[in-house]
Amino acid sequence: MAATAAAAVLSSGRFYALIGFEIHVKLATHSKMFSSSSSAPAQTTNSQVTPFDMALPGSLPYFNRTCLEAGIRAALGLNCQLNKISHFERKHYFYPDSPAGYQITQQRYPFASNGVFHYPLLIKKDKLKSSTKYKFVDNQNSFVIKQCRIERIQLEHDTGRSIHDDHQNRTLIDLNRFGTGLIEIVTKPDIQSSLEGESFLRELNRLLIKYNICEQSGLETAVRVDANVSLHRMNTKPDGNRIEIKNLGSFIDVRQAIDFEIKRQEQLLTNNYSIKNETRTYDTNKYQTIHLRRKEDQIDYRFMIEPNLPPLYLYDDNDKHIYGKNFVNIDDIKRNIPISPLDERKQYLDKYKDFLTAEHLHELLRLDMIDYFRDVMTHLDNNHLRHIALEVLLSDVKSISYDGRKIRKFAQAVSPILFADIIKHLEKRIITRFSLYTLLTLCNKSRDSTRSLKSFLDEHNMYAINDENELEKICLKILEENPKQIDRYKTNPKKALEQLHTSVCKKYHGRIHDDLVNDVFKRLLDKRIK
Amino acid sequence: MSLFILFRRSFSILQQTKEKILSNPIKIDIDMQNKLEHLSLISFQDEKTIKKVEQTIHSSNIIHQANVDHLQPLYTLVETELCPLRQTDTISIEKTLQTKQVLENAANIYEEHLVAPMIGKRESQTVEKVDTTKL
Repeated sequence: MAATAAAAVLSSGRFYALIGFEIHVKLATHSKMFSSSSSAPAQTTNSQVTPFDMALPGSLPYFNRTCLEAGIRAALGLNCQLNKISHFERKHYFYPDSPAGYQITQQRYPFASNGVFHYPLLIKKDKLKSSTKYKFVDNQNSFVIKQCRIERIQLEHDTGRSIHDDHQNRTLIDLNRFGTGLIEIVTKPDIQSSLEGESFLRELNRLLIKYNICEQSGLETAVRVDANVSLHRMNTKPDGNRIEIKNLGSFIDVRQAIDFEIKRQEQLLTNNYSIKNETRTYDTNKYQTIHLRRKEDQIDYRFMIEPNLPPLYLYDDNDKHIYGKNFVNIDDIKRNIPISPLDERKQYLDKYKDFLTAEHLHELLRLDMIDYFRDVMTHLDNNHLRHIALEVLLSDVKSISYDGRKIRKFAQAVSPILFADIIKHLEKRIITRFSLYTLLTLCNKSRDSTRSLKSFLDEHNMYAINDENELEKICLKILEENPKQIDRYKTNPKKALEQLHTSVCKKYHGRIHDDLVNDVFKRLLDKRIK
Repeated sequence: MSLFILFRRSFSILQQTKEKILSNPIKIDIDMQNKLEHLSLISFQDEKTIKKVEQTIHSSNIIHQANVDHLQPLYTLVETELCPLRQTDTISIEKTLQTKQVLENAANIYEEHLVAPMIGKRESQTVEKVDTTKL
């Protein structure tokens, strides 16, 4: 409902939205950013803490090179300018899960800035009917590509974990998470709808995982998003006021929160109220944003340069005469980063142009199936098989595993090798198209990716019946059981054949090929009529 | 003689500065009081304390008379150094404290958690709630 309302607001022509994100990404490193304790999640309480993490007197930060390299990969993936000199700063505030009384960050002097990120607009096909302005493909071979400017990327560390005990009026603190390395990605307000926001975040998620910047699960555990949303009357300039929505933890939350906020601000503007700076949070139970604090209550963080950390220097090939191997060379990292998701998709469209279109690829992206598709393609050696595999992925597999989480589970249960084997069997007519959904469901439910296809087919007797004599016997038996269809064939042959086909499929569990059984029925019925 | 003139001149500048400051007394209003209390975690209990703070700020304001236009701030004593990098991303068991060491100076602990008074949900954190009476 909020989505429809927000779409109506934006398509009315009276308002436009400006949306920007602040994204905190937990870096995939073994140890923390400024200390050498483990950054692994879900460990015994307060068992991964060094003196620095507790802010004990005399302890000093020692910056982890791996965090810097992960940050640089993110900056290169987001086409940012890398600042060769950057500074760490202290952001002061009192909270029990931050023992030092400040967080080390890079608010004013970040290591990367002024980037731009291109992402494909993803939309469900059926939504096109209600919002035709959202074209998602330009032509056969390309997506509609949007862009969002990146203001800065900064290195910082995470805080500890707080558990509020309302009954005992106390807060329980676990410092295991304190000091874990993060990067904060701050975008410009270039996003104009929740659809664009979700598309941007999905593509960013893909980049973060592909470049090994954060853990595999991405947005669900390793990424936190804050959205800044403001709605303005058409033909007016933005006044700088915006609503900050904190701690959005999933793509759905991001979309719903933005849609709710757009509708809420539209109501305020329509009633001649102005939008004032405010921080809100999203209630996932009530599907709405809730006030946290006003601009007047905004905290003064008293930023100052971190006196215990000298300036951070980055080098490139031009500085070879200055740096030693202990320092980070940006060009070395550039040479070793993988291809971007955008370029990878262009490659697929080029490589599989015989059967793959931008529409197909868009659907694979939307369903989070692109990696599974890539792995399956490598195990099939001709385009005919690959085309069949694509068709099965976008029909049967889509029905079984219709969202990102389910496709990951499907990919674990039905390995790309097993799936490729199924496609080869289908092509050789060892199994029928009709039995494919059942077979894939059985493989998915068994959760045993080491099992061979033969064991499934033997256990459930799913081999296709290809012998002509046996087929004829089966069809004769079906005709005896359905005498009405013989008479019906004289007046309405198409309907009669359909009914007979349904009967044989039900009785023989999809083990008979459509084309073969239809031919046999036609031959037998024509013979009878004559 | 010249030293005496220099001394008189310095004293006169100091006197002028003091007069300038005294003619612009500091007054802490209620918003500023709330802000200072929030930043320092100190409660200004009464008028007497606020007065003392005002006087302290008053006296400290002389620092603004220094001409620093031609100076850059010294943020760190090691600003000419390069930020040293921990080269390997390995976990150090030796440097990691045991849980009992983390908790040994805490006045209150609960199931290996440090215990702090309830302050309120911080806006940038997803905070979990638990009813420990049911544990």
